[in-house]
Amino acid sequence: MKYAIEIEKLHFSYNGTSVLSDVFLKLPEGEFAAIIGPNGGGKTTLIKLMLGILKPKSGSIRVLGTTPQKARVKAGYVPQDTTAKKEFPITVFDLVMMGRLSNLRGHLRIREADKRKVDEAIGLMGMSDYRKVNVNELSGGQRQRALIARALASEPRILFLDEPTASVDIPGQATLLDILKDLNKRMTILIITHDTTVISTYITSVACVNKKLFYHTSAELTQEMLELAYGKTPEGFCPIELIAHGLPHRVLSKHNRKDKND
Amino acid sequence: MIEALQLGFMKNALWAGLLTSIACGIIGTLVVVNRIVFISGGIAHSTFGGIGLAVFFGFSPIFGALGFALAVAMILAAITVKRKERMDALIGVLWAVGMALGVILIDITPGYNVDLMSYLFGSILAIPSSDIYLMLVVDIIILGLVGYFYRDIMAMAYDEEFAFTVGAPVVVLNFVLLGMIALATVMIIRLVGLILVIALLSIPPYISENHTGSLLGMILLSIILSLIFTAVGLWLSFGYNLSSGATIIMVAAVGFVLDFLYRSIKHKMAKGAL
Repeated sequence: MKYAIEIEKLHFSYNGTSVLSDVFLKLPEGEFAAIIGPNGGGKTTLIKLMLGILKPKSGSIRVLGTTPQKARVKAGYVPQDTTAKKEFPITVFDLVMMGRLSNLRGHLRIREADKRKVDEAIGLMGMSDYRKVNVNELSGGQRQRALIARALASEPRILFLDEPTASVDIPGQATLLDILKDLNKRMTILIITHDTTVISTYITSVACVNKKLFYHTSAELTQEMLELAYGKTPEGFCPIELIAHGLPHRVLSKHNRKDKND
Repeated sequence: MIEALQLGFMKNALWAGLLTSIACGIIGTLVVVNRIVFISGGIAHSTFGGIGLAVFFGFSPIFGALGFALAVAMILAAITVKRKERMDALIGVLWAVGMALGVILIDITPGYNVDLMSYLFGSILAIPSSDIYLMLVVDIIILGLVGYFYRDIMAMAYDEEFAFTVGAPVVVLNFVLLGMIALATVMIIRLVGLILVIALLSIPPYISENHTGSLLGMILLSIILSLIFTAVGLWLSFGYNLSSGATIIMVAAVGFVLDFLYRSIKHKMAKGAL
């Protein structure tokens, strides 16, 4: 079997505090995997390690059979919406063009082939009417679609998304997830999310991350898994409220939103 | 003003103003969108250490300033890679230590006779032709580098981590960017002095940011604004016998306030119309 991600004995600490420890993961290609867990549990850190943005303190990571640094150009990254600078003057077209960056160096004029790829990605995300609109004038859902288009413009084989539905309204979320499901036919997808309805409808496996990683090769969420990911104490720490009878569960975020960049 | 233009030093001053405005518009824009105005301030002030060294060892202060600014810029770029979270404190240290070093070196230089004020507050009216050529070279270097890496620089300014994932040479470009800031800073020191550099770097791009939809537009508008501030400042300083550097900055400040008033009135009117 070909693996998109192979992680062994991974440790990562930040300023002396251990963020991830003893992480193992073998994720086959073609999966639509969800990464769940509490804020500060190391989800974003894990994605950044897989993208080569951060380097592990020990252990090994292989992405598409090679190092994260080498694989990064085959990976698409949709960071949290809060990452980018809101007042930065840039149109949707120029934003998505960033995805073609390595082709543009030294060229004052953009080549037609790159323009076509960018327009394709914009069209795929249903943003064609907004090509020339400034990114800071978009709604949360539109901005999210533009960010996904930017990741797709680099023609990735694996797509990492960090809470892509956080600032999107409910109908927008459904559209977004349908597009992702379609994309999953062509690429492996890893998505950080707190929204467990996403998980029960769309994904093929779940990784629960809370300093350690627990990988489940089924799309079903069990009480046990949620406890592993979010901890058992219902008060103060655990954001989970189990609604209705059994599955699906809904995760109601009670966390202080200021520690979003975990 | 017509007769002023016929004076040789005034001609040089205007050329210097034009060449500096080009560097200022480009580098100022990059400084503002990357939010590293404080880094530029650090580089500018620490440059005084280089001027002190040059005075002490008896070589040209402009090269002392240039060498020192580049060295400080490279140190800061290295810190950016390793310990970004401690950056502000370290900038503060380099800022003050550079100046202190300059003051002490000038103190102990026998028969010191350099016009200190011209480095602190600029001396655009005393710029020799040789400096004009140096400015031209700096402009060409900056235009070449920014032109070649334009998309990388834009992507990095917007989101450095994403830029890395699509293959931007993030570490190298941090050195390049700070190196260009050092070059531009030394150039602007001739115009308005090392204390006032940050104002001329940041005011034009800050105004432009609200009136353009792209980085390139912001750069072009900043160059034009910087040129207007410099020309009007020069004219006023010549007509009323004021310090040129400070007058240029005050003109820029007036521009800043006018733009602020214009935008708040426009905002209020737009609200009223709804």
